[in-house]
Amino acid sequence: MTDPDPIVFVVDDDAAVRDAVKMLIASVGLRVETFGSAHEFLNHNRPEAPGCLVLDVRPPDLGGLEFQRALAEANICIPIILTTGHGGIASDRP
Amino acid sequence: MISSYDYRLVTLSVVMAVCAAYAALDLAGRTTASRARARLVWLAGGAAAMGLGIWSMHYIGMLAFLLPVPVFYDWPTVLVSLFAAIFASGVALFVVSRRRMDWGRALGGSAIMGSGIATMHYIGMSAMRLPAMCHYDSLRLVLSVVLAIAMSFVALWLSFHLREHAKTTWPRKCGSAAVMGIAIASMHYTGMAAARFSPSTMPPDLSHAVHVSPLGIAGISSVTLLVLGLVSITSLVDRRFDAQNSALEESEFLQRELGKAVDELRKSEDRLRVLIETIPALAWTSLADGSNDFVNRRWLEYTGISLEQMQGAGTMPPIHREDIGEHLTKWRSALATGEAFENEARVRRASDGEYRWFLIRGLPLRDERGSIVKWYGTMTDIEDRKRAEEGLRKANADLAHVTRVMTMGELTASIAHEINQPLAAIVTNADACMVWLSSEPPNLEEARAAVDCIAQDGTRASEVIRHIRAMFTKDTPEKTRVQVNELIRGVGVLLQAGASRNQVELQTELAIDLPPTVGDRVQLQQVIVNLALNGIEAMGTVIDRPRRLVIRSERQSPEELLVAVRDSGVGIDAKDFKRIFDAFFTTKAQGMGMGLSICRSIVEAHGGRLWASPNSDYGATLQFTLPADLGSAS
Repeated sequence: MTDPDPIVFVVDDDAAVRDAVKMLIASVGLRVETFGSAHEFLNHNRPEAPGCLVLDVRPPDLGGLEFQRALAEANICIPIILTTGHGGIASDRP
Repeated sequence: MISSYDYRLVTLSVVMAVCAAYAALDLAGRTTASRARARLVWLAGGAAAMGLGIWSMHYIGMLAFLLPVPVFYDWPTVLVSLFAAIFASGVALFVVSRRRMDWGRALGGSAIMGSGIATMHYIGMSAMRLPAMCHYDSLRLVLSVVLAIAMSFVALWLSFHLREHAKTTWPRKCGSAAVMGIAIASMHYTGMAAARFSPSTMPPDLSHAVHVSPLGIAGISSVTLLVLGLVSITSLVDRRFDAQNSALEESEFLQRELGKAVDELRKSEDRLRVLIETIPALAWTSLADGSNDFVNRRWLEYTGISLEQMQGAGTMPPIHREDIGEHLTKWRSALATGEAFENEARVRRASDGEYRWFLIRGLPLRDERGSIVKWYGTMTDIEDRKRAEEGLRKANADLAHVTRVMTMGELTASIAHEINQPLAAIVTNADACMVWLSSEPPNLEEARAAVDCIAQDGTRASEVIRHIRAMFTKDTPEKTRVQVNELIRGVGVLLQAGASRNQVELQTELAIDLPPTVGDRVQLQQVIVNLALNGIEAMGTVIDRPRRLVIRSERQSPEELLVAVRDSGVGIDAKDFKRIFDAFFTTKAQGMGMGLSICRSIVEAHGGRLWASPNSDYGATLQFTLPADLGSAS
């Protein structure tokens, strides 16, 4: 196998939600790695593999969009799927 | 004309003068001691006796004066001279029997008395009828008048001062009488010496004239002595009577005073009775063993118990069934220890059967040995106060509820998130479960794991709702045993999402050895939620440091526990530290200013204190104490 298995990275501060998402993604046969905060993800050594990031809009340490900028600065190019438990994204603050 | 003296008669006249003086001293005392009419009688009688004494001394003196011609006396003139003597004596007695005698009175009295005696003397001289001319040596005449006045002064002075001493010794009185008598006599003989008789050819006018024989002299002397003697004896008897009278009077006086004292006592007793019957309280007394002794009329009227029923020992007021146990326990303990008794209980009013709250108090009265003689007590109607207290308690509870609901309003977004999270997890897990079940073959193990998670998330959601519901309850406050750490954890559940939204790190530092407290868990939780929300709000504008809210519990002392909510916010202005607990004081745009005021009244109602203090670096700490429930603490 030249292409390693794709990985879905999940960042969510709520453990229950995090575990549920992990379980759902795993159920369709994808590899999942979960993180409780944005920093945790940034400090993690990612394996070289295609993947995407499922991100809660409002993790406790960094705002979602702020986190996106941090990724760009770290030269991490990865598709991001933003989710929210707050039922709306219009009023998000930086 | 050659004149000579019959010395026997001179001696008799001096004796007469001394007797008159003695009687005068005696009479002065009596007159002073008497009152009103008796005094007048003594004055008149005394003046008559003394006047007679002086007069007869004078006549005997005249008769002792022997002239070589026959001497007759004009008896109407003689009578006039007697009246002059009586008048002079009256003045003398009046002066010396006054309460006070000063120089003015003494001089005035002696001038009148002396002049009276001189007048008597010279009237008496002019009663002489004899074939001779009478001339007076003016120098001796003046001398005799001056002597009369001086003698009177001495007499008055002596009488006044001797009269005071009831126990003036007999010799002393006699001595004084002798001095006075000799003084009177010397005046007379000076007057006689002023007279010069020269023979005259003109026969005297002998109409109304009488000759005085030795028998007459004897008569005058004996009558005078008899009168003076009688006066003295009467005076003596009167003095005895008087002594008895004054003893009698004294005892009557004492009797009267005693009567007055008894009367006063009765009056003061009446006043006390009126006081006891009219004070706006039911009053009672009990004997040392607690048996009934006395109750006032209000007591009887209120309870409807009759005085006859009260005779039975230990009759209690009709106390409410629920209160009687505590009442009796406290009363027995007071009887046993002798400490002041105080209790609140409902007592039945006879007129309408209503039970009203009373404050019943009693204090022991002790004798000098310290043992209890009686218990004195009152029962005061405090129904209205109780009702007001009840109303206030209810109003406070309502207010606490309203502010709680408002707080929950502020929390709505946070609460929605708190419930939404587990719901999202449930839906996601359900989806996963469906996938596991639909695969070929179905992965039951994974599906079961997903369902487990669903159950957990459901439990979590209902837990959140349970907390929220508790905050909305309007139950009357209920005191139960409360674990404060548990409350803080519950608050954490409610606030976590709100804290996250505001990028606030919520931390708890809970003491392991925290004792429980007794209180209303909903209200106490409300306090912590309020303080935490305030802290989170205070950090809303902070960007240069971590936003951290720490809820800490601590055992402050064996009897007290402490909850502190510390933020790193903008802090509180020094001038606002006191005011933040005032009702309607707020620094927030939408705040009503009730939160902290309610918090404080809740904490204080629980027997604790709530206060704010600035942190050494940033922000403020709001903390409160609660009494530890030591009763059953392990």
